Amino acid sequence: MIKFQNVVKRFDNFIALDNIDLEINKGSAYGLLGSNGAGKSTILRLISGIYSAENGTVEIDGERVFDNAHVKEKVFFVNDETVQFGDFTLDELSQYSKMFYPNYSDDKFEELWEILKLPRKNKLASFSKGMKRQAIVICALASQPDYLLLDEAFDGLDPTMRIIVKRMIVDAMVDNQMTVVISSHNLKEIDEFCDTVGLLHKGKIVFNRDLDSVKGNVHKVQTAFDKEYREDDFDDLELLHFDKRGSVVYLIVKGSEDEITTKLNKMEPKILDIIPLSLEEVFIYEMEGLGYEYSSIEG
Amino acid sequence: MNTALSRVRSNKAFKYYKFKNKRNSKSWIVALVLNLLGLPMMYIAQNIFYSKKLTTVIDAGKMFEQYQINVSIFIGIGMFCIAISAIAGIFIVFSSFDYMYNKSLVDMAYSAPLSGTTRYTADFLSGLTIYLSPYLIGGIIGFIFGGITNLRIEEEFRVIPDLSTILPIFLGVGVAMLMAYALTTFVSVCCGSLIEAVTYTLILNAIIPIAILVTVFGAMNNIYGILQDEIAFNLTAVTSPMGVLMGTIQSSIDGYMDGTENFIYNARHLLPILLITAAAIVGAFLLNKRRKAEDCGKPFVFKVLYYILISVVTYCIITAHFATTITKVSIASAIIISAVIYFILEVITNRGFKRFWVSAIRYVATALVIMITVGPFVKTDAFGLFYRVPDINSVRSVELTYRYYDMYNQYYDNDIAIEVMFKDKDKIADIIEFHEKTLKNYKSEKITQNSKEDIYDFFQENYIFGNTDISYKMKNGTRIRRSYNTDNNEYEIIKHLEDTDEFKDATIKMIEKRLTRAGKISLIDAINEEQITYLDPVMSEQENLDLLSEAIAKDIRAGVKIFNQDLSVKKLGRLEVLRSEEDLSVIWGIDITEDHINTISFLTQKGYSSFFSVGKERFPRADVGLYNLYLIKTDEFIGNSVYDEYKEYSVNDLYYSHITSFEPEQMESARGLVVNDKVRELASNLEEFRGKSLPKYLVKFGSKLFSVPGEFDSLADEVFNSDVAIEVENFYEMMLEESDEVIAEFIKEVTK
Repeated sequence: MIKFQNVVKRFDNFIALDNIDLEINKGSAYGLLGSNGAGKSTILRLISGIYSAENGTVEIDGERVFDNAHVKEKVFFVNDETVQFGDFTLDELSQYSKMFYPNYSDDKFEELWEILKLPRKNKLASFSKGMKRQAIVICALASQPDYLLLDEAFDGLDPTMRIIVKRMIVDAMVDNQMTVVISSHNLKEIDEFCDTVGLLHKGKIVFNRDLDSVKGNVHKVQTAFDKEYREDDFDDLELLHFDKRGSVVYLIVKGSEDEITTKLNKMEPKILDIIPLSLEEVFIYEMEGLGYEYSSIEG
Repeated sequence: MNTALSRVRSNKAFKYYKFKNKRNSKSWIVALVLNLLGLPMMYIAQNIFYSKKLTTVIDAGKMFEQYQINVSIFIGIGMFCIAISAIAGIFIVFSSFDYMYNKSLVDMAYSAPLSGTTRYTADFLSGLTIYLSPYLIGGIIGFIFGGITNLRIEEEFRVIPDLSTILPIFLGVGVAMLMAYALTTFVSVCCGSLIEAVTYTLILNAIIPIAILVTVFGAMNNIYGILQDEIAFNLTAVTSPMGVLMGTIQSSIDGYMDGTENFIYNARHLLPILLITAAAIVGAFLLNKRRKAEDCGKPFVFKVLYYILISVVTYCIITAHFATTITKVSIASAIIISAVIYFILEVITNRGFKRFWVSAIRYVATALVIMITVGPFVKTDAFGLFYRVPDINSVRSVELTYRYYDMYNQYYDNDIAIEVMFKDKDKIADIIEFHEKTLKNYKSEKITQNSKEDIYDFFQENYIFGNTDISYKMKNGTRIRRSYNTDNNEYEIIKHLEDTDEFKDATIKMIEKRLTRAGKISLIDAINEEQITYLDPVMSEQENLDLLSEAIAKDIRAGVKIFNQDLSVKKLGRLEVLRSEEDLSVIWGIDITEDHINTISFLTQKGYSSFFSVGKERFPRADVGLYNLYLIKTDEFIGNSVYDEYKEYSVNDLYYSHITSFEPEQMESARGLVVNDKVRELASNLEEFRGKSLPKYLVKFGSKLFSVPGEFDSLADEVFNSDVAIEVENFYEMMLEESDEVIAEFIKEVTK
């Protein structure tokens, strides 16, 4: 299990993570969501032992990560850059990984390579971005870490390759009880892949829940009334968004469906439709609720 | 369990080290090729170009010259290759620690399952291996080839110096490389950007020797008695790679010239070099532990290095103002230049003009601190620190270095030093008294070192007493070293120390040391210095050199002064030590006087007796006289000038100029002599000219001046007006234009 306790991370005067508490269970697929600069990559770098926290502790399986080679052997970090292994060939990258990871399996590497058929003797610098990703991912999976950290790992992969790579990762999760932590702006991907998500904003965790409860806790409501209602009239509800077009009112509301239905029925609606939200919509409206402009959100 | 775990970890560290070596293998191959083109190639070239013909062909001069040129070209190429490898190779540090400046690489390095210590150590050692191992391999192969070469090629045909000469240079360069690597690593750890790492590595390497030189020759320029050159050399040669290189080269030259030990073999020099290197390595290691991944990309991770360096740059420029004899920089210019450089560095490091006012305040504070410390330091001659005379009770011993300047012999080693150690309390007390008097004179008369040298413009003595170096060894283990220009008055206090056993032993030791390096010995006639006798090569063999030094030692113990200043003692000749049979350059020499009984006896036994006879036969034959013997009427030659300076100048002319360089009116008063009986009679009554008072006639024979005693003036008049005395102008005209037969006939005619 990955555990953050009161973690503070500063970069000079900028607070990247502000007193974070976080637990990621073993074997889960955890998605990190957040606006740009929210602290997602910082969390991944803290887990992989690249950064040390100014305050608090980051532990994996009860041991501190930073400067702990033994714990780091359990973690493989695939960052959002591809230039760092540019002067390696695939075989050299494999050897490099083998040097550090005790569970590294040549058979696994060959098995994965058979699927992707990447050039083995060419420098990675000559690969396309997607091919570099594939190369790094197969080395990561051949290393058989307990924890795989992926920072925008599917970036650059074509749709077919995305499916193949995802399947590889899922297989590894099933086979090895591997925990995957993904940071991505592609919410659809996280929606498909993760069972738990955490939303970060300005260095703080907005929520950290399993995906179903996240999606089940926010609803889109389409309703119409005889009376004229303004936004203030819905104070009983935890509104994330309010929109009115003619007599139809569109609401994004936090809370259970029953609770929302009960409260709105008291206002005698003519029409009342409650529709569950996609993760992407949850993200957008949650962020809007935190004052984050829609126009500046990627994904 | 723990042992097994640590074994796995160390195995991983070694694997990582090997992996890094493999990654840098291209650089290593390039460096190896460069180093193989160094020493090994030099020796191979010497073997290729050497031919047996050089030893068998009688007139192999041109062949030998060509052989030397060919080998020298490869020596040049070899040195260039080694230099390139040593200088460019240092960039391996930036390659080994590339993740410190490259944000893309930092994740890869820091996320790898290695502890920071393991990663840093492996990277450090890998870089060091890539940097130093080609140099060591090249050196070892070179020395093996060198050894093989020595078996084949005789010593006089070797263009490349022997292992004993090359080894200290090789070690010195190696130590300089190690130091450069350590300092570069230190700077690298302090920087987060490659530009800063490279720039400040260069600045650090340059600023250390510059700061020392500026301090010694700028801030300490006016302090009387300190050994500036020695302090500067001792400090620069041990504090920076550049200094170590310069020290190695300088020390090798000195070693070749006078056989002194190379500085790299001396623990006193080696220890600080290794300490600084170790400090840089440990400092880099500790700082790296505090370095964070996110520091990558910042110009400076540990800004204190930057502040120190720009402060030192500012210090150097401002302090250079005090070394006016070197730089001619006014204080205003120094401040303007230092400010401009300071702000340029600030703008580069801050990547713009942000918080420029903070830079301005920092500069003003730095400049003020420098001025209020350096200013009073210079004005008070380092607060009088160097003018303190040690208390006798705290002195363990004193080494006194007597420096004599050989006036007549302008070979390189004309500064002859005798180092004498005194432990006796009374003698130490005399030295302290001498020290106090010298300083008292300096303080009261404000005699500068330069003006004091004028006192020694006294030409009659062969040896003048120049500097006295005093080196106190204190009871607390420290040393105090001073050097003073000493006048006769001050020297009187310690003159009696010349009669001590310590002085005699030191003199003998100095002579023994110098004689061991004799490749050939020559004897020069005191009267006719153009008469040089080269001693048989057998005299330069160790056995005879030992006997010679033993004979000289006996004379010294009997009270003979090697550096004789007593003009009443008759000088018979001069013994000179030459470099070798082929290279007749003079290493040093001593005067042989009539008191050198044992030395003369030894040389006489060996068949060199005529040299020391004082009879008439020492005067030249008639034709030799024609070139060397002149009779000079002094009143006409010097003139009736009322100015002593002019008279002195004219007398000096007689000493130092060849007779043909006289002015026309002076040439009128000089006659070249053909030797006949009258001339011999006159010569046998000559006295050595002391320069105290001018006689009517002077005789110049070779490079010596003799005065004609008053009672022989009429004889001199007679000779001057006779046929054997020829006007100098006619004399040379005849020499240039007439045949040998005509000259012989002329000599015959005038000597009838």
